[in-house]
Amino acid sequence: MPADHFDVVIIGAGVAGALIADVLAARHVNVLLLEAGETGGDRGALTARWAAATVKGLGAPYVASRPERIPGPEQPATEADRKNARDVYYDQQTPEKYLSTYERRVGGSTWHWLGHTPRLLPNDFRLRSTYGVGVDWPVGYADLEPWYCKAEKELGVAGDDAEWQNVHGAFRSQPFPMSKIWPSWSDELFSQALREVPISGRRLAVLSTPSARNSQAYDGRPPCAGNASCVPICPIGAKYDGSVHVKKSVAKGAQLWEKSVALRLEKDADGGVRTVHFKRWDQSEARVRGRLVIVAANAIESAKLLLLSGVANSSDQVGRNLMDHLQKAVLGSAREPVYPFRGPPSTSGIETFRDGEFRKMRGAFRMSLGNDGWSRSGSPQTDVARLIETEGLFGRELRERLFHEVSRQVRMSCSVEVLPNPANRVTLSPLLDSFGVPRPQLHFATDDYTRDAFGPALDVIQDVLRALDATVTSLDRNPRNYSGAGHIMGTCRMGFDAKTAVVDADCRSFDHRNLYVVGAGAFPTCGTANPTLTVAALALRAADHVLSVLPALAAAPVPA
Amino acid sequence: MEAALASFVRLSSALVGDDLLPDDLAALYFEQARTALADELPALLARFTHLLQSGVEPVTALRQHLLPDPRWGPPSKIILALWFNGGIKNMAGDWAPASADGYYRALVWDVIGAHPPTLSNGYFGHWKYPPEC
Repeated sequence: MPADHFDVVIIGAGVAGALIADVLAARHVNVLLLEAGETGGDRGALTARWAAATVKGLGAPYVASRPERIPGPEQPATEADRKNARDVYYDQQTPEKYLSTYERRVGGSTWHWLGHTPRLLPNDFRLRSTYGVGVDWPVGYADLEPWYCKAEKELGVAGDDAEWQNVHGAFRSQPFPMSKIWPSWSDELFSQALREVPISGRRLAVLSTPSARNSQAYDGRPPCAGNASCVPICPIGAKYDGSVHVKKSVAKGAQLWEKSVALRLEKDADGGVRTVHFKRWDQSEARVRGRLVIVAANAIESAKLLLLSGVANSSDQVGRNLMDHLQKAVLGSAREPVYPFRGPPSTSGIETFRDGEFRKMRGAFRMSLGNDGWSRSGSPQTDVARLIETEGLFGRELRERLFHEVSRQVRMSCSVEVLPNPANRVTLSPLLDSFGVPRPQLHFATDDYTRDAFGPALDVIQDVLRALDATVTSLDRNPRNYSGAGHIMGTCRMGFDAKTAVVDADCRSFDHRNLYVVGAGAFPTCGTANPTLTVAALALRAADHVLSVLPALAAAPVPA
Repeated sequence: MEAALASFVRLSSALVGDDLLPDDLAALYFEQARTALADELPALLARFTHLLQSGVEPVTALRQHLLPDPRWGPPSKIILALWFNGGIKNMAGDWAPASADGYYRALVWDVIGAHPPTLSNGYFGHWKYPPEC
């Protein structure tokens, strides 16, 4: 086979692409991972870069070695753009903005994810048939459950089997690979308060959040040491990221071509998509061929590539139904110290409101308890400055006040469901990035279904903070003020037929049977679960399907 | 130790409420302050030294003579924040750390009963319990 011919070419070395590469390479499939970003320095160097950075944003550890910076929503083009890289990369003309971003890098955005891995719920897969809104998935929870188990083993998920058996009907056929990440001292205080005080007449349970973060040595990685920095980097690799399976797949024979930006896919005369044109960071262009091509960039870049290529879009659904989980954080001050800024940024949540009849009218929401104080609106440094500037404190008095105030900081957040809306979409901007590639133009607006969920969510948070005897210090009820969760979903949705969806239940293109599109782009609806575990489960399922079709593809003649 | 650095250490000790400041960090912050406060630092240190030589206690010097003063207050507060935050606020409002080491050794983490992010020196599950502080 020529050096630029592979059985399978995977575009994107994030968690989905890496997992598939690992499965295929283990079966001796000749597979290429083509990645726009770089491997970059080692973890220690990345951590030190972040510590020394002035602007400690998501992309701070990962500033590319390329002098001009690689285009992307977290990679500024210039020093002056460091705070608004998203706005320099995305082209957004709409009043509301799409707020979530991603990292172009070997291992992808899992480098700076929080690591939370709840599963979607059974009703998340049948939203239309159960509640009359959104659409149904072409797979159900029971179909995906064995793949969730495999994904939990691959990523190394720590969780509490008893707490998570049958939450909203989500049965578990296998135990978590590891026992749970321990709740924080703050979580314990919340749990205690909610055991004693009912909220709207019901007892709310605080559950430990399943996380792809080691609670013991697992898969050659150490247990979490509570460095409190999952976002933007775990300094010791206790938290899973996609680079784990990139390394595994390469050790099994997969090739990784980094610093290679896919430009377009080319369709052969027989309708197959086998050629990928790409540009290296040195600006040289080349092409690579695969009997089968898997697009695994992310929901924005995958859609952009398909649109640039004019493929897989007979449904006119490519780029549409862009979703996120929209978040609001409420800050408060507890009566006693809760000791934030220790341990993972969040270790527990409230799952009660993720499903129910109310979903006929408004979105579901998941709630998380923070261990990160008021870091969503400032930092302990901000508190130092405030006490010095506005109160003139110094010396022992400053130390005592600082401890008194910061040690009591609490945060609760809600993440609200967004329905698929064809008008929320990715299109091609007339503006080009530094590779000469059209930037993504994003169109995004919330609807009443999502906005109406914020009020009830904030009511619950207020009641919970009251139960804790905490004072609310920051609560914004304006439903148009929210933050993104970094959960970029939709745009290449799976469905039942070629008229309404881009890919089928196996993430296989309806239009080109040797083309797959994996990742959260394939989600028809978004539920309230952090998406990565479902991304992993769908990717492993797709990999299994690829293995089943490869022999026939290998036997068939390939156009020159 | 040069006289200016010694004076900087005395001023810093009074500001942060600690007589045992690490020499290497003091030298690092002195250099950063000398750059950021090129016009103000020599005069501030001279004023502080003069007050001490006049028999004024260091804390009193700060509370009554330096911090409330429109000339001496702002540079004094910058040095105070430098020790607590490990950096100096730039024009954009961000804390420019003296170095990664400066960020990690900033006083704020210990004072709030925490540790700098990415450097807990802790064991699995330590966050389940209150810190020893």
